[in-house]
Amino acid sequence: MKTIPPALPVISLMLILAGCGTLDTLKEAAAGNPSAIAQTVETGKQGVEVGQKVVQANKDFSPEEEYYIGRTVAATILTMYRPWDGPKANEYLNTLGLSLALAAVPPNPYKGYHFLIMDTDDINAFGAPSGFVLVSRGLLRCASSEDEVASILAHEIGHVSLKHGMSAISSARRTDALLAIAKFAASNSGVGMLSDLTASFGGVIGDIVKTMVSSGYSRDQEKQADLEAIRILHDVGYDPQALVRVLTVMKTKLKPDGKAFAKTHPAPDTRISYLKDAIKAQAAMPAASAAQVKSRQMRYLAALQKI
Amino acid sequence: MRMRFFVAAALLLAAGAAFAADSAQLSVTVKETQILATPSALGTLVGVLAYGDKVTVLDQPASARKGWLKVKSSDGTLQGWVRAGDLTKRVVAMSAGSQAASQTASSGDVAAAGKGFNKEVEAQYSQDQKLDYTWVDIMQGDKEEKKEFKVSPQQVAAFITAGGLNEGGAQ
Repeated sequence: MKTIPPALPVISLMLILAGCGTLDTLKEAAAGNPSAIAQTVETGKQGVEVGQKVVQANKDFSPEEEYYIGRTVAATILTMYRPWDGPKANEYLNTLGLSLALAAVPPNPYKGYHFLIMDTDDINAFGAPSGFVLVSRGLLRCASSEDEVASILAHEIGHVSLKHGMSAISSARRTDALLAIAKFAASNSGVGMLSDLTASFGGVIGDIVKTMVSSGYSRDQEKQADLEAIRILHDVGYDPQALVRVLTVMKTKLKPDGKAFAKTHPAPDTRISYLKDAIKAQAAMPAASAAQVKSRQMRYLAALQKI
Repeated sequence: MRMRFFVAAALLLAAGAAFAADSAQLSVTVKETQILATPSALGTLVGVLAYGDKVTVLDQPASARKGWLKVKSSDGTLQGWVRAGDLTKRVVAMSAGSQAASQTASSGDVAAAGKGFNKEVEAQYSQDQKLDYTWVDIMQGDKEEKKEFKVSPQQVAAFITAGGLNEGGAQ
């Protein structure tokens, strides 16, 4: 992980959304890998037995394995950005985030979704595999209501539930890792294999962190996350326009020379444009009562006014 | 007429088979999930299911709410409501050494389970890279003193109600 340039300000606003494209790709990977792996192994020492194990047990990383991947991705990002130790703010973010996650695309991560504020003025957020969501103070300052904070979290939940982080693992790396896991599983003792497995693990982490921190998700994935965000907001009862408002504020705060962000994200105007069309297509929703709106604003201010 | 009857019967059979296959068995995909007496975070606790446990989906009564499924545990002892997102059609290998794994999984499954990217791999990687997981443990609520990261389903339910929101999306 030390090879990753520290803290490239990929203002990633990796706002969220879910898409069929990614799901299809995942299915293909899951369906395609086992036979490829089995072929590769056939000539090897453990041959067919290992190949079968891969096919039977490890068509893809298990939810538990994805959890260990997500933990390490989060720990790595936290070497670049310090955590913000504000109890009220973090508790609010987790309560709000879990309310949104109830409407996320299933299945739920192995140990659920978790949210943490990063202590930086950079506008940035990460939705790491298995539900580890990190959001910067700088990004939270682009919001001025609960609905707007919800739009930021919903985008990240979209990246997680659509498995965008996992899709950043190169197919060669995935094959290599699943093979190392299969060999380890097939051996009786596993002695001497932990280092192989750990090396594969490091490769997987490197691919994901590089994408999340430096190169960014694809524009299509960002759009998927945006569309998933407004789907979640609408279903849960928040105003989908809140995401447009956050992007509008972000546009004024982003530095024109923000190279990484400009390179890796569609321009806010582009996103606002397709979001407006998508929001128009959503069914009308009942307006929240004055008391409910007030309740949201009071708790938002109590938790994040001084962020 | 008779022909029509056969076609209708065949369609019904096909539909029934599809339903049976669809409702056959699901696996728990999270570390653990609660079976509740009613489809609500505030429902009475019936029991707890662990990662890899299998359940059978029961007919969904009129009281079914979006995001919840009425299920029966594979040994038939527990019955109640589980969050649909905690279940998957995919077969999940149980963690090695778990009681359920030793009782019900084939030996191949058990051998494979828990031998991939796991705690030992994380520990080795952490040591090699001098990577600190303290705040990851904190954010997932594993540190007793950091209560702000241990938000309960009841707290979430209260938050949803006070804000006039929909639990798990509109019904």
